[in-house]
Amino acid sequence: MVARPKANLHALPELKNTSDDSIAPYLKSKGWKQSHTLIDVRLILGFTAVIIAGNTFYYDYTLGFDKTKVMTLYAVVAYFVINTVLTWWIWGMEGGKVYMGSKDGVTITISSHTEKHSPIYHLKIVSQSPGQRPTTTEAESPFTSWFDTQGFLVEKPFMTFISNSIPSMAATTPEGQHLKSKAKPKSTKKG
Amino acid sequence: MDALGLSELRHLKPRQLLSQVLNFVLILSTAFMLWKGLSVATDSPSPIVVVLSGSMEPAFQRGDLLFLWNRNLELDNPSTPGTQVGEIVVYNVIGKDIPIVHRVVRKHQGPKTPLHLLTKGDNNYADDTELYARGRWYLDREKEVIGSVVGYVPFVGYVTIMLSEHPWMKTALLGIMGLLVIVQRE
Repeated sequence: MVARPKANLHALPELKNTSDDSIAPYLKSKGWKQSHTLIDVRLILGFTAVIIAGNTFYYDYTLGFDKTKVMTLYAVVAYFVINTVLTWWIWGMEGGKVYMGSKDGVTITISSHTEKHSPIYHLKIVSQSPGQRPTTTEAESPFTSWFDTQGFLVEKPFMTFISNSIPSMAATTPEGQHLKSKAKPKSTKKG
Repeated sequence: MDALGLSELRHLKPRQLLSQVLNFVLILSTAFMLWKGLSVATDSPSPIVVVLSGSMEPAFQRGDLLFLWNRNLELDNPSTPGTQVGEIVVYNVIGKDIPIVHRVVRKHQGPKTPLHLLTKGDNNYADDTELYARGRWYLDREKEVIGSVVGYVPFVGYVTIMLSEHPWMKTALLGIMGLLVIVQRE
């Protein structure tokens, strides 16, 4: 992890975001390959809409309103359609997910959330090993487990919490032997 | 660097940076597309204008915001009423960029030939003949008029008048907005 991440101890969104941001570098160091599909689609959708808007601006500026009326109409419709799709994508698909990656054939999706005014970090991990049904694991731990009194994120306990929560890591990593999180594995039947 | 939070920028990966940029640019482009959408719906190049002079008092004061509708040209269709005498229209004289808001006092020709309008500000003594392009005694409804007024909100537009008459305010406003963005990132 680069220059010690710090968060405002009284701001729940900051605690959550800092923790979320620290998951990817840690897992990368453990050999997981991150999948950027979610954010890539969001970027493509978003910038397509922006390019349409930019083009509309350019042609309207250079050719004037009358000549570009029809083109502008199509552009406006296209822009808001793409924006609607983008909004659905962010809300429906990305919602809560903070990491997607794979290692040795096992794919995991990690989502995190916090309850209002409650300093507990909830993780939901959907893990799929090749040839098996995906399993869902939930884990939670108060932020105090890995933030010190000045707001810096302390690596060791955080890494332990994460590795304990991911089923394929809990058994194998040395950090998994210490601090236990309240992991409750749940098998789901959906494919 | 740390105090400004700019050191964070060094650690941002390209995707995260692009994401932040996208969020900012989307706000600007959405505002612009909403404006264009309104423009296309009303068929007017500038569907919302600010009253700049007092020539229409007491109906409109300097700084009022006007909403325009430009789909009433009365061209080739005698059954639709089109622009009437007594309506308030906004026009740009060809060659000048300032929109003028005055009342129609006379109309000539149309519907098969171009509709010509004579306008006059309520608060003015003379009609607008002096304001029109050289050698012209009328306005072409299709070419010069950008719409008739269908609604208004008082005072709201005064901000744009202040910004254009005191350019330093634009810089100050941008400076404050920029400062807020930087501070809020923390």
